[in-house]
Amino acid sequence: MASPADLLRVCDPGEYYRSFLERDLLPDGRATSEFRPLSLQLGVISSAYGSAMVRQGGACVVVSVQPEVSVPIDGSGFIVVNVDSSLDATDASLSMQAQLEDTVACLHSLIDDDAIVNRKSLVVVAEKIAWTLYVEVLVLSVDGGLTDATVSALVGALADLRLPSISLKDEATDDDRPFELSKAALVISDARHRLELVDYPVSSTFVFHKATCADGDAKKRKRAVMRCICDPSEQLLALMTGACNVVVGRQGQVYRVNRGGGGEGVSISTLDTVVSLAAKRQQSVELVIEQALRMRAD
Amino acid sequence: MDTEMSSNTNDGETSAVSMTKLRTLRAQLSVLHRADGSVALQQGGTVVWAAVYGPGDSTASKRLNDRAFIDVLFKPKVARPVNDIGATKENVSPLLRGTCESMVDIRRHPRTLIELVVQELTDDGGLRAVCLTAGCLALLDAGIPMTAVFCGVSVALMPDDRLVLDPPLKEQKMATALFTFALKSAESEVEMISCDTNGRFQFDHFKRAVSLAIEAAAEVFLFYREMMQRKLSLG
Repeated sequence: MASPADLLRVCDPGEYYRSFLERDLLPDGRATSEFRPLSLQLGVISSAYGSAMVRQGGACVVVSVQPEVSVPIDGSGFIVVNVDSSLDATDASLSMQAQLEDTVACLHSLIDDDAIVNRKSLVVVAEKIAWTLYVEVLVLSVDGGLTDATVSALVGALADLRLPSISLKDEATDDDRPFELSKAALVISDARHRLELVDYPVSSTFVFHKATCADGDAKKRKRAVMRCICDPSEQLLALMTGACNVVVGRQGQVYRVNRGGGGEGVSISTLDTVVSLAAKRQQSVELVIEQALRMRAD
Repeated sequence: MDTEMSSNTNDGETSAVSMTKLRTLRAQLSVLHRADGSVALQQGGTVVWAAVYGPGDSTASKRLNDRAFIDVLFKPKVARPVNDIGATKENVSPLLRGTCESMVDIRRHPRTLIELVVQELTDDGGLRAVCLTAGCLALLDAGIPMTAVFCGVSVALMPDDRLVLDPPLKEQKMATALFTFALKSAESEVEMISCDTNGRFQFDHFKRAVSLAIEAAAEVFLFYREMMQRKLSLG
């Protein structure tokens, strides 16, 4: 026999969530300003040169990085991302498909802006050798928080990445002949070195809930309170349109503010709250990644 | 017409905000006769065509029981592979889809499909914002019931901390960040409903860009009014 709360959740999810949000709480017990706990593990795939698994709330994502040698273009190497989801394309709800699309856009945006790794630092021998990092993202489960978990996993995997040191056997080559990678002789040493990360961007997702003041005159009702809800679950995401994704790095550097449409406009004061929450989150996630790196080194 | 304005930021520093006007808007409604609604829109040098089909029949995969399914197709001038990192920067589909789903009265036509196709013809800067504007004009031309009108505005952040409204491609390429906003107008109040950013910036830049975009949007909504008056021969 289902409890009245469960029945309400099925019949009128809006009312169910409203009763919690009015007290600045969420059904799973946390405050609306709290994020779900993050767990990060590095080096989970031993065959990969760098890998990370992140569990954030209900989302579980594994990222692995495989470096390949290639020829640089415009003085920089490359990072290619491929997202593989275990969610069946037909079964996945619209909301999940939209989340997946947004996650891919977010990753591309971060790579294109050199937010984690400067692709110019992937060049080993100028105009001849550079690394191409093939990033495989495997989405294992989703309950909201997909973009957040994936960005953290990508940062973790790139932080974990150990590149072999390579050099050209024969440095003096004929300048007339064009350089052919397939014919080049490379010296690959056993030594491994880490990539220098430019920044530790962290993604945070929010939804907004417009709370109307029950009492008061017409003037008061117009000044409705816009609540920020951190890290919404899947059901909440589907219920409330207009999720906002913010990616911030160190020292107030913002890499992305994305809101894919919502009925209510977002005021500057709401965005202020959002960015300050995101900045706090960035600091705590950076600590988690650094701790994981230290454990890996031991 | 360039107007230089000095404004005091919170920490007492003065920063110059260059408030260039929006580029000239030119549009022609109902350019495609087979579509229910269409528009050819030109903003400065950027030209975009948009067409709306619907509300109409849909396949089972695009049928929702309680609302209309909005399908947005963005056609870039040059097709690029899915994994192309640069291509997602130009993709306006998610932004446009999200905005349409909130602005179109989707509860009015359940189990139907509303298809919006946007074709890029020339990109001379601010492409995504122009696509947003074209999308709304096409929806208006088709007579799709909407809860509010919306438009797109782009703002670029230049390396010298200057904000440029509706930048042409040459300036856009030199920008450290580009902001694309979707703004809605309801009861003469303009609010920002969607946004997307490229590049890196400080939050203060973003706030200033939002204010700039909200002011500029009023011009676009005036343009909508003119277009619709012309269409319905009221002007």
